[in-house]
Amino acid sequence: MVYLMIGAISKARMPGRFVTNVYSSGIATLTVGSLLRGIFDIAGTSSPYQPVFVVAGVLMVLVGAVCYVAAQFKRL
Amino acid sequence: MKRFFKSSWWAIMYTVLLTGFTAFVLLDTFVIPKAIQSVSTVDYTQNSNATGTTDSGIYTANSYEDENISITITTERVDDTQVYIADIQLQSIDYLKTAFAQNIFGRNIKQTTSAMAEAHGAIFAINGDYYGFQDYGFVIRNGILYRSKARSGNDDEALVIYEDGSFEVVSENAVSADALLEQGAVQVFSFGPSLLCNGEINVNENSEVAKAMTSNPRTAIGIISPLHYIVIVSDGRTNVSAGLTLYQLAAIFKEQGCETAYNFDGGGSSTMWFNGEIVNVPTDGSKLGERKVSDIVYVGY
Repeated sequence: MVYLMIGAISKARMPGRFVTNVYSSGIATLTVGSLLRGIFDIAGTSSPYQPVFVVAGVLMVLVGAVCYVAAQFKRL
Repeated sequence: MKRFFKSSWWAIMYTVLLTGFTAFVLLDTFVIPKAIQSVSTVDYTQNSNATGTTDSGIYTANSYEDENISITITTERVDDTQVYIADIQLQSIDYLKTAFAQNIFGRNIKQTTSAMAEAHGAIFAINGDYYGFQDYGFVIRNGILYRSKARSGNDDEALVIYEDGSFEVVSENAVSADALLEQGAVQVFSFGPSLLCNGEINVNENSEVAKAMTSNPRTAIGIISPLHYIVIVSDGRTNVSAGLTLYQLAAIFKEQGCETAYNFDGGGSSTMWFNGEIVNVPTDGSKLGERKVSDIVYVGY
């Protein structure tokens, strides 16, 4: 969806492989973390490792976004 | 194929890593046993007023009586549910004890209620608050502090049993576990919610524990006066017994004349054990039989 928006609304080039990999990995990590949180909520328990998914996911999404923006500025 | 792996190596590697870590987190939470502390051999009853040392009373099919302990179990049908009510009167709080699965405090360390009851020579036993499923919540058992980390949020009501046999429901974020110990707490349970407060129902008809179903097998304890307790275990999740809501459970305690009542772990954990036999019909909804739990509350010497 993000890539479609980029192509539709701007003249920016599509992200490279590295940005795609990192960004997608971040989204996957956040998704799995949310699923686990749901499982733990239903079971009535928790895990000390839950924040790892959030931190890692957010970091990778941010790295992907920053690298993409930096590449666009470099091209300019 | 070679080209596929060359272009997709990141996706493959990360999928393996994410799947592996997720599997580890699930196993760590639900399966891998972690022993934190063995039960202290210090007997907190050494300086107590308890005089009895052996189970030498008179048993019937649904009662036990000796000079220190009196237990009577009645079965009633309430709201399409089989309910088992134990009326317990003690001469000393030392006869109301708790035990951990395998005598170890930790996570994912479990045993059936009946196995723990038999191992400790119990006369009567019920499942406890399943402390081992959580990393937070006060745990004080038989006068010893095992965990002082309070739960966060609004679900932080803990049941305190003091050395004089009285009950109090406290907020874990309003008082420390060490302070409770200094005030004479011998048992502290961390599940809830509180069902009765000053004789009045403390839950509404929509109250429930976390994301549990509204009608469930239940285990709960109430107090009429110091050293006079009512324990209720109900069946549920079967064709014979629908289960109780927390409100229905609270209403039964009020009818029994309790001042304070507190909910323990229910569902598949709910088990009442008396004189070597399981009294209720434990089930998790898919199969009959006891669930292994992390702790019990029992009456005995």
